[in-house]
Amino acid sequence: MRIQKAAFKLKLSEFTIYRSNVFLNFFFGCVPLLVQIFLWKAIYGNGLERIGGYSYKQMITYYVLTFLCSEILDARDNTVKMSEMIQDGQIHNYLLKPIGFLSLNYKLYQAEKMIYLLNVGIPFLVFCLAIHKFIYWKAYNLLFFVISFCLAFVLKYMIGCILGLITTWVEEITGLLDLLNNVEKFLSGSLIPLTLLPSGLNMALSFLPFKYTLFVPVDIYMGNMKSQDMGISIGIQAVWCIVLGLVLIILKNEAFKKYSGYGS
Amino acid sequence: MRYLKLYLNFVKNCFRRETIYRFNFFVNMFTVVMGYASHILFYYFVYDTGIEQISGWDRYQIYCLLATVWIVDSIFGGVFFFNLIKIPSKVKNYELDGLLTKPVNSVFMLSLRQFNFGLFSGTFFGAAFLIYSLWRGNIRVSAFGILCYLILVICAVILLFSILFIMVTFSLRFVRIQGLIGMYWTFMDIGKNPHSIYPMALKYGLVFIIPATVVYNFPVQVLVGNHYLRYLNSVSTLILAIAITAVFLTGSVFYFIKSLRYYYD
Repeated sequence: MRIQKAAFKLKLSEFTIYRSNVFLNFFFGCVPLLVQIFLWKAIYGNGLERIGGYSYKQMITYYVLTFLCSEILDARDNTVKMSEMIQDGQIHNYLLKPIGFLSLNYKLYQAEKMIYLLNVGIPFLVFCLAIHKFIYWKAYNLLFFVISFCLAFVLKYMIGCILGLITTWVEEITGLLDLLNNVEKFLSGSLIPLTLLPSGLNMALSFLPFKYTLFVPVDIYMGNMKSQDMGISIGIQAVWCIVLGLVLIILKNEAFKKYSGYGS
Repeated sequence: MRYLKLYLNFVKNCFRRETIYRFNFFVNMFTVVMGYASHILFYYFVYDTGIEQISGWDRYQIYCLLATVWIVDSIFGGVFFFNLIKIPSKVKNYELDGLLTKPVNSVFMLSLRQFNFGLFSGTFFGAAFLIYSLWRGNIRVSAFGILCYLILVICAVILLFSILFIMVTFSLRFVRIQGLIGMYWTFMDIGKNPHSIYPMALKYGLVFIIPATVVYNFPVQVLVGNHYLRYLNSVSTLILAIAITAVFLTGSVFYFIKSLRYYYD
């Protein structure tokens, strides 16, 4: 708890330096949402009531929620930082500390995201109120949404860490990160609700972890899933967390065995 | 002629570097292809739900728009983007001072030194996709239409250059401008959608204030005949686009020269 507090304080002071940048990024991130409102209005203007199981309001809410969740779950900065630490040997400082590297890194990551959420929470609410006509408010699955979102948070963190640790073997991962980012956008449902995809493809995506990092929590909020499916989806998320957690631990041990502190 | 020779040397130099980092080149290319492919798939699946048109645009007209976005972004990305984006760091690290002492036009040096083959290769994918879309959509294009399209694509690239050049020139005064560059992409992305989804007031704003639709929508409308404003035909579209491009290009160079005076001080 003491470490968590210290991590929170550290990230808070960092945040105050880059506050204007964070807010600017958030506000400009809202502009594409307004474009989505126009675009989907035109699409639903063809007389369709529901597309991919979503009404117009649900579709807009889907994109609004996807935007907020993606911003919170985005682990790219952490991955790049981890990769740089391995490249320039800064990771030495962390290995000498009496706390596990991943444990400390996770605490810092969690603190950073909590501060982000606390800061953009009010502007986000104001934005939602401004476009309230297009928002689907019925959140009867809120508890399951929160559980699923927390699992997605851990999943995204672990995927990011695995990529970051790969730097020990391949040195430069930014190209790989960009590639994964583009693929993930589509496979996680950030670009389009996965219910619009053909059922075979949608089924195939259920065997990959990406769907569980974004689409599943948002779809749970929408109330489109039956309670049984919801349970299964959250269960699969938990299984992915365990599997990727094991992969991460093995990879970390192997990476630190190979790591020679070159450049430090 | 001297500048053309110099530019060819820059391109050769960049090509040699790309051949050293071949893996990076292919990763870059594949990443960009995946990015555009996901947008194409978005519309592919939307049209697969059974809708015929989105605000008057059928499937292949939208594909033509996406192909144009791909072509314009690839030319701009390959020729200008990585040069302009480095200007703030050149200001921060005082590299700009060295560049200004060279006996070459500073705008030329700052905007054309790097050529990114990975991004530029997207032009060919975009062109291939455009030809496929025109063929599948049974869209007939006259030679004049093709000429107008090519001129409008050139205008689009120059416009993108001018707007980003104005933004990065701010770094001569304020140094940190990350937020502004984020804003640039956000507003330009608005133009990547079919123009007819926007209300009329916004449509005017997207031509005269932030010309995002001039960049992406204007070229495609002379091909598919889906005119932006009812009274604009191909010729008036062309004249308007050239006029807007000239204003922005002149403005950006003028602002750079003015900011340089501030920088010297």
